Order: sequence, then C-alpha cells, then structure tokens
Amino acid sequence: MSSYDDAVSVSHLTKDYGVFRLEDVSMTVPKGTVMGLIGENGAGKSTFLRCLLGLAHPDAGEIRILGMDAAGQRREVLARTAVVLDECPFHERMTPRMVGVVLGGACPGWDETEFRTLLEELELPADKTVKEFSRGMKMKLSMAAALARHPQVLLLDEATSGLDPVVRDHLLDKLRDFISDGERAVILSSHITSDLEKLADYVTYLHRGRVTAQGAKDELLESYGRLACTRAELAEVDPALLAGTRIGQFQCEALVRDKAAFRRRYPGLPVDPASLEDIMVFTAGRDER
Amino acid sequence: MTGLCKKELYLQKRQLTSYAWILIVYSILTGAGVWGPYILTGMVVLVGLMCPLNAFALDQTCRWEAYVCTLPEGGRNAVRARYGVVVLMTLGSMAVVAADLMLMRALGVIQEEAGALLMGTLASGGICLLLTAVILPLCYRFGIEKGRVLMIAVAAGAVGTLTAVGWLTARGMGKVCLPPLAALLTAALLLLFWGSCRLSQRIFLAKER
Repeated sequence: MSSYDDAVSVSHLTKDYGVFRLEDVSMTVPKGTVMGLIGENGAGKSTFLRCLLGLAHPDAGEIRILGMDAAGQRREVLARTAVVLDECPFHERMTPRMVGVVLGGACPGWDETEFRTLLEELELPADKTVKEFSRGMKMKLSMAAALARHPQVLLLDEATSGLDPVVRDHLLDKLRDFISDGERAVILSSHITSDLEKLADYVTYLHRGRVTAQGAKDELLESYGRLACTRAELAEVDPALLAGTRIGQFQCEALVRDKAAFRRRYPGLPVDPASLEDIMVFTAGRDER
Repeated sequence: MTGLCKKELYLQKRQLTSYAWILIVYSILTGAGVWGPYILTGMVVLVGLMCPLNAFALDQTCRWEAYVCTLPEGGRNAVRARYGVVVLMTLGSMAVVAADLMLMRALGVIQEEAGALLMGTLASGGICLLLTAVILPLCYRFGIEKGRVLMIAVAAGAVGTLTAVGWLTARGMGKVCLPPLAALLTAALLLLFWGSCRLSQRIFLAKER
C-alpha cells in the first residue's frame, strides 16, 4: 500500500532568474488526478516543471514526488517520472524504431511491446524518420515514448500547443486512460484552457511567477463568474468582488470572484459562468492596466 | 547506457559514408605520390574529433539534452556514452587506416616500414584522444559554437607541439627509450581521458535547461 496520498507535493517553490522570479509556488497533486497548470506565455509554467524535473535548481522550497525528495532521491524520482516536452527531443535522423532501441537501453522499466502497440495505435510508422513527421506525429511519438516507460507521474510542458483539435483530443484520451487506475498523476501545462477544462481535476493559474488562482477545476468554474453591464452599473459594484474588468465603449465586462455572493448582493446584475480562459484573460488584463 | 551509445552511433551513420569516401580518395592520392602515407593517419584524428562535435551540433537541433536529463542517470550516462563512442570511433578508424596502409604496402604502392606506419597510426590515435579529452569539456561548458573556435586553438597548439618534438627528434634530442615512454604516455592519456569525462559530467549536470 502506498505511504503517500499526493503524487506531487510542492511547498513554497522559488526560483529567481533576475528578470523573472517564480515566487512561493505551492501545490499538491493527489494520486489519480490531473493538475492543469495554466498561465500566459512567460508566466513560469515551464520554469516550474523544470524545477520539478531537476532541470533547474530552485532557490527555495521543497518538492516531493511520490513521497520522495525530488532533489535528494533524484534517480528514484526520475525512474518513476516521464516528461513530454513542447518539442520532440528526438533527432530528425532517428526513426521510432531507433527511439525504442535507444530508450530501451537507457530507461529501466522500458516496455518495448507497449511502445510498439502505442506506435500502431497512434498510427506512427516505425521506420520513417522524425524529419518526415508532422508536428502532431512528433508529439505522438513523444507521448508514446513517455507512456512506454510506465511512469507514475507524467509531466507535459505545452505538449498540445500547435496541434490540431483531432490530435489534441487523441492525446487527451491517452491521458484519461493513463490516470484511470487511480494511482498515477499528470501535470499538464498549457495555455489552451479548453484542453484543461476537458481533462483537469485541479487547476493552478500562474501569473507573472505567482499563483493567482488554485483549486478544484469544477469549484473554480462554479465560483468565478462573468459580469456584463453598463459603466454606470459597474461603478456601483464593490471592486473587492471583482478579479478583473474590461471597460468598453458600449459595455463593460468583469470577472466576479464569488458568483453566489455577488448574485445575493446584486440580484439585478446578470452573472454568467466563467471559463478558465476568462479567468486567465481578466486576471492578466487587470495587471496590464 | 547502451541505448545512449547506440544513439551516438546512429547519429554518425551518415558521416561514416563520407569518411569512407575521404579515405578512398586520400589513398588514391597517396598511391599516386601526391603526398606521403602519414596523411592517412591524420584521418584518425579527423574522425575522432568530428564525431563528438557532430553529435553536439545535432543535439542542439532538438531538446535532446534537456530530455536525457529527465531519464534516471541520463545526464551522466549521456556524457559517458559520448566519450565511449569517441574511443570506439578512434579505435575503429585506427584499425581501418592501419589495414589500408598495410594493404597499400603489400601492393607496393608505398614503401614505408610497416612498424613506422603502425606507430604513426597509434600516435594519431593518442593525439586524437588527447585533443578530445581537452575539447569535450570545453564544448560542454561553452557550447558547440565556441567549442569549434577553441578546438582550432587546441589543435594548433597540438600541431605546434608535435612540430617542435619532430624538430628536436631530427636533431637527435629525442633518443629516449621508447617503450617506457610510450607506456607512461599511454597511462597519462588514459588518466587524462577519464578525468575529462568526469569533468564533462560535472559541467553537464550543473547546467540548467
């Protein structure tokens, strides 16, 4: 029986690059769940994942993966973790067959049979070079290489960016299958919020290196709301209830933090459900004014 | 680690064809008397040096370095594999060049002593390993673009040293007992190569990606 409940646990992670700082980021990813990491470009998503993988060295904070210290037990952690990067890491001259040979001799626990099954399922020709692959095919190859390692934690860094909806949907299906046993976990970093709305159980929104919103996806979407009103009506609203506003010539829009409380206080103002994209856009837009 | 060695070798496949053609052309030109046979021993240095530089350049075209560091012991083994393949390619090119020279001598195309030709090939192998032991940590530290420039400086230094040794030998100042000297140099070279590998591992693992 596992002695930990959280597949990934991050406490007060800080990484300072001078021009950019990842500040005091904390999160937990329970087993059997998908954590969606959202944020605009340059928010710190990739920096966060690089710290998890040991590709960047945090200035402060603690990272525990599968109950193990990510820094002190790096070898054990990496043996149970796999990553899908935003670009295919395999050389253009390599074929999927060669990738299988290379990783089979480099990764403990590599399952060549599973890899070949995945190649067939994802319709990837085993003897075609990566150079001849489309972007979607390259990401499928990266996904197959990650899943064939039978990891317990899967990290994806903008892996669905630039892919068509059909390929994205296919990859999301693979991720659903991956966590279906309730023991594994996924952290999916993306600015394609519709993917996270389909798949994520929890969401962490990073904005300029800080956690701006975090929690169960359904609770966040239930809590936040989108207000459409006139300027005069907006002027009457307590700004503390709003997470961001957009003032147009004819209509104003605002992101409401607590939909239920807002409706009780302003029953005359219509508040619609907000999407993750709304949360991201309104929060980012607030800081740019 | 075997997988990572195979990856290094996969990347060299296309270059091997080029090296084979170069060897054929140079052998023909040597047989025609355009230049001496020792130019062929220089191929050992060419293959041994270009092999890792080629691999560095190809790694930069994709996110391989970041990816391999996410594999257990991936970073350390990736460096070991690169050094291992350098040794393999050097030994392989030494064997091919030596066989080529012996064949040319057997056919009467060249008249140099077999022993001297083999010593020249062996010496080139040693020089190749010495150069790569110096250059590889520099490439890991500064990247392939600066590494190429540094390689020219190191190679120039090595050529200058060899020229000086040759000049001294021609004036009778190199008459030392060769077997113990060769053994000492071999041991020093192996130690240097091992130290270079350890240093490269440290540099590679300390980099943030």
